[in-house]
Amino acid sequence: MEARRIEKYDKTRTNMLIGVALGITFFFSSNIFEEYFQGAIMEGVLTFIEIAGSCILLFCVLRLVHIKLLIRKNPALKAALKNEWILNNLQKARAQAFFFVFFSLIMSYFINLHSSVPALLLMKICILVAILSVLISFVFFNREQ
Amino acid sequence: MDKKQLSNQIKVFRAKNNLTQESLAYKIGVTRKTINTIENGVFVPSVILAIKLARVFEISVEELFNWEEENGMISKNS
Repeated sequence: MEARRIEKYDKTRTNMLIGVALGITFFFSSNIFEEYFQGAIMEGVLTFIEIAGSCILLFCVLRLVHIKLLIRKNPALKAALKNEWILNNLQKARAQAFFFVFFSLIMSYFINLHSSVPALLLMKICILVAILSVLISFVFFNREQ
Repeated sequence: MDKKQLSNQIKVFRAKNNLTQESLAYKIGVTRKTINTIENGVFVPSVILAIKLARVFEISVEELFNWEEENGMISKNS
């Protein structure tokens, strides 16, 4: 029974991380495109995508916090869901995210040599790349082998 | 240590002891996917985890894990 709970929470956590990645993508990308697409219809569509992204993000973050509170009560569950393989994957994901952000900054530098890139846009892209690369890398490393 | 050179008999001993990956994972306090990656040689476990695995099967770590030399010679405890 306890083993099933561990697997259930592990799977739920993975699904919620994917949800967070989707939510952040919708939210940030619509935020970025809002400055470049004008017109009532486009603005309406982008606003809808932004709200949908926010809702998905909020739901998934709350669910992750809920899982964390649930497993905190059970030390065995907590130890299993933070075992060395998972911590190893997290470390690899963070390292990979650093290189993704570094690469995107290098790309932005070279693009900026030819056309001016607004600083706010660059920041949004870097934040999006950083968060997405950690989440996607972690889910990738944490997959069934 | 090259992961490809480290082999293990976890699957064999699991079958002998009638244990699923899930039940073995629960016994040593990890997830089933962790056992799966160790079994497939994708992840090299720490010494502590290797000892925990060996203790479940009541064998030594050397019986459970095997490391081959790069030139193909088997390096076992003599």
